[in-house]
Amino acid sequence: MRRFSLLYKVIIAFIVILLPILAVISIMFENDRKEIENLIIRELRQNADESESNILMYMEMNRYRIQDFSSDGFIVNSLERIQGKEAGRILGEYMRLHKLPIFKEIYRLNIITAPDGHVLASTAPGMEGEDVSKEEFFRNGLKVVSVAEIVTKFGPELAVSAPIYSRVERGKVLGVITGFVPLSKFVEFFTGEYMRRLGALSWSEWGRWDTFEIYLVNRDKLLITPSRYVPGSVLKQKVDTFPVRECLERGREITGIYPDYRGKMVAGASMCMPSLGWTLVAEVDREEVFAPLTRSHRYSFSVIILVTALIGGLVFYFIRVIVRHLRTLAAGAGEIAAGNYEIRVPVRTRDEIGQLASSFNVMAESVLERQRELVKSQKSLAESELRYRMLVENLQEGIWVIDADAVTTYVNPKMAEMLGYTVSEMMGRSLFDFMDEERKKFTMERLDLKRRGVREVVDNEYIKKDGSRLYATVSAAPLMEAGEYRGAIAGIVDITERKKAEEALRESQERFRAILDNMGNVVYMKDLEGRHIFVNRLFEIVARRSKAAIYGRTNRELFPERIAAEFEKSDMKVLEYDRPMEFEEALPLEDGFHSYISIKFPLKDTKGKTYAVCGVSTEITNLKNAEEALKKSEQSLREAQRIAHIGNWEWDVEKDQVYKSDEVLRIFGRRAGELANYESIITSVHPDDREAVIMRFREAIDKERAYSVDARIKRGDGGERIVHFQGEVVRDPSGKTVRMDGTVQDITERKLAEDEVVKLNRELEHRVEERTLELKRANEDLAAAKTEIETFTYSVAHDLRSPLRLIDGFTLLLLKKQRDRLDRDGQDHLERIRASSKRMGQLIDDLMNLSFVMRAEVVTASVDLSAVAMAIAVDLEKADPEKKSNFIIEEGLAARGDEKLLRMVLENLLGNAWKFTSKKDEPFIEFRRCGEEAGWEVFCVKDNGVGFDMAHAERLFQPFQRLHSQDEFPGTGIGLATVKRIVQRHGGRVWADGEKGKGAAFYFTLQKGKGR
Amino acid sequence: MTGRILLVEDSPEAVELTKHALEGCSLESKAIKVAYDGQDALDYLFAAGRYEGRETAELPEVVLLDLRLPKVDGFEVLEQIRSNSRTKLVPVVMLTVSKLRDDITRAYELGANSYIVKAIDYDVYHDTITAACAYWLKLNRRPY
Repeated sequence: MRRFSLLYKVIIAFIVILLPILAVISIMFENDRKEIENLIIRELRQNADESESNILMYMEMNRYRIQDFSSDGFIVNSLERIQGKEAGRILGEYMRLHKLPIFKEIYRLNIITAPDGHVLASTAPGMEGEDVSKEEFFRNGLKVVSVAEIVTKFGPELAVSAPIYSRVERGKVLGVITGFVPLSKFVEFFTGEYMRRLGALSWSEWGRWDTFEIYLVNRDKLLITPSRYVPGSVLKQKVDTFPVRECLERGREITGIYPDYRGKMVAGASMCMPSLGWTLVAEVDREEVFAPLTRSHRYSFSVIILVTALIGGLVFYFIRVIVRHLRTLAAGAGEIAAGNYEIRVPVRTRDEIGQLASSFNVMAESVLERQRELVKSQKSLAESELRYRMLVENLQEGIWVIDADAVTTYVNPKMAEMLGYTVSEMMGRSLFDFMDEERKKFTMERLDLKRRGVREVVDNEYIKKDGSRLYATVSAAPLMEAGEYRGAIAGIVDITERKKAEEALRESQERFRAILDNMGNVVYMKDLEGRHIFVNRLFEIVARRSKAAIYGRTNRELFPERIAAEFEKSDMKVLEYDRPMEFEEALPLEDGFHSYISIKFPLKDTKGKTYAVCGVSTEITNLKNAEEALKKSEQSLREAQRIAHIGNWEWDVEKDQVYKSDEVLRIFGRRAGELANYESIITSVHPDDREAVIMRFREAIDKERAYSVDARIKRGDGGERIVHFQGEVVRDPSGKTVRMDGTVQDITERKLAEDEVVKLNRELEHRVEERTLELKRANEDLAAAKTEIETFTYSVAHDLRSPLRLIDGFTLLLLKKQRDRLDRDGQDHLERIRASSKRMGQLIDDLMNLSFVMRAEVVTASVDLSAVAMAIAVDLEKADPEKKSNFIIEEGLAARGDEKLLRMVLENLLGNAWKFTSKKDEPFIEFRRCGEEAGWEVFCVKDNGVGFDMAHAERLFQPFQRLHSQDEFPGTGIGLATVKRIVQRHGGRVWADGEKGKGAAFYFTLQKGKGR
Repeated sequence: MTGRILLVEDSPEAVELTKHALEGCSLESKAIKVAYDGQDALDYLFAAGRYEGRETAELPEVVLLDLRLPKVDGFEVLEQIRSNSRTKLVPVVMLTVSKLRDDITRAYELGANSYIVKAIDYDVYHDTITAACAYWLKLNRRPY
């Protein structure tokens, strides 16, 4: 937290007190202001109200008067009878004498003739003849009694006009009578002058305000009464202020504070006079209204500032005095804290501050006294302590002192050194910081004893700074003060080295035992009396006893007597000769005798005295069996090599000697003793292949990789063989090539066979090429043929049909146009020509279909045969509605195939059935599934039509074969051929069954489709 | 002389039969312009060859076009009509004996407006032509 000086705090406190006071004063002033504002507004309003009623009354009076004048009998009669200057003179005189004196407010009266608007008569001289036809007061005056403000040579005036109606002619206006009042007259209403003149006793002029102003504004926003501030302002000064606007635009009377026509802020109240179009405004300068308030403001603030300054100054002075004294005291105390006990502060006053200063000086005196005593006693203490310290710190034993909470209060340098710390690092730390959990527990128990006053010597372990352990013997004693436990002191001797030695010994023994236990030899030690003092695991197995049952017993107690005697004999011999000796020994075990070679030697103590015999026995029972097995394996290898024609050889690079198996000699056709070195092997290789072989061998040696090479060799008997060399190089650890190992295989027969295969393959390839070429040519031929067929088909479609059309067309024309010239036969012949050409057309169409079927691509999908058949049946019935029909179509028949082609099948078969049942009274056509054939569906179309002879069944499906005459049943004989084609293209077959006169059945097979 | 129908047909006999069939439409004989090969048809339409200088403003209302034609075949004629900006909107009706699906497909691909197979039976042919004529000359609205 930041520290503030005393002075600073006082200033803040001062401000905190002052602020609310200022706020309260401000609120009070604000209230006063509002109060005053309300008051003045009320007063202004009242004032304006009074003036308004005076003006209204006055105006009403004027209007009555003028109206009264307008109906004056003399004026009306004169106007009706006399004209011209004479009339002007008489009327002017009349008004001056009889009218003006009646009502003194009016200064001047004019009579203006209608409709020309010229002044006829006037009470003022020289006005006659003036044209006022354009003036507002005249034009309004023609109609009603009206009021208008104008400026004339007499100054700003108010004109009150009234029409003069004829008494002779009803409704006729003879003229206008106008009375003029100076606008300055209105000031009298505001000053009270008018009321005084009327007989009022008193009227305060302008009220009690210096800047009070009341004025009228017409509907053109022009001032119509004189301004207090602007001279000559009547009907000139524009007053476009807030109250005027409110009155003219909204008809609202307002009060408030706003800028007036001079732009000055005023408090005002307005009155609207809609009948005249005037606004009455009463205003006082805001400045004046609030002047008392402003004055009292100024006084109040002056007083506050003065009082504040006075209090502030006083406080500031006192604070400064107090602070100065306090600072002197604080500086003195600081000096004492820094060790300067000689310091004294001056005592300047006799008040509280002075007392404080003298107390301080007394205190400083006593501190100085105490300090002197302290220094003396410390010195003697230090001397005594130094002596002890010297003693303790030079001890070669560690000293460690702890307090009742086991916190280190003292260690000597030796102790610190033993733990690898400095003394200061250890001071203040708990004793337990220097030990592991286990030791901590142990030490706590020991400390409990200390509390009871027990001294003792124990071994303990500590953890050094580097994490290693300190083993130590600890002589500890409690520190008691007045029978109370205050801590403990201990002398500590490092025994780490001793501990380590013991550890090492135990480890070495353990290692030794482990090695012996895991050895494949039987190991044992016997003392000079022949008692076993050590055996290994294998011995336990051989003796079939545990170590415990062996130690302390002699051979005679463990083995059969004869065997034990043998062992004893050899033991004695070793002791006798006092050197290691080898014996062959045998031991009967469960599976017969086992042979051992035993090495026995005397064991000597550090003084060289023999104290035991040690033996190591190695079993040699299996050695002989191994030799036998090796011999057998070599034999079988030789045999294998002979059979496989593989020999193995090794070339000792150093000695240039070649070792090889018998099979190598056999392959090379050499005798034993030949092929003894590298050169002899190389020279046996065929000269043409020699270079390659040498290169491979060299590569194997240089690049350290396996070699594999085929080569021809010359046999010793002059024959030639092909062999396969394979092998690798052997290096010693230094990387030097020492040997090349490898095999040689006679591959002559295999090579010959391989060559034969290659030859055959080549021939085969050649033949395949030839066939491919032939096939390609055939394909090309086929493509050409196909193109030809297409061209042919096109020709058939177009060129054959065109002439047929012409034949039919012209025959018909002939029939029509020449009918009269032809007899019945002629007509019949022509009809036959037409029938023939039509059949020919049908034939062409059917052939085209057949051709299409042969060429078309079969697009396979599941086809709903029932639906297809149903559609065909409907078409057939439509084409011949007269015919009786009875189609029975099984539902849900489906097959895999090309829908377009299968439709043609059904069109042909159902069409045929329809055709051949046409002469039946009760026709019957059926399409259904008729069984299954090798997983394919068999469909059939059966009818009860004319049928056929089964003898002709085969011919049915050949093109152009018909069993009926054209007259009987028309047809081209291509339909069934097309059916057969289509079914065949789907991989199925088609056949027929029938009997003459009994009906026919057509069967076809198709792959199963997805049924509904 | 401008025909309302341009009949493109190589065989004079076939032309005669077709004209005969068109009688059902009650046309003036002038109204049918016959071209006996594909080149002649194109020359007529484009005012080239022997028709050089012909007033080309008026186009036939329909072209009846056979497929197998000397010099330039029906497909080629159709293609040229369609690739010329002036004639590309002329209705072209294929009138042929070919029922081959390939021919029908190709004709429509090249922009034929209709494809009519000439029936061998003249009665049928007569009805077909009458109907086509009624449609293309009376009912159909052309864009020119």
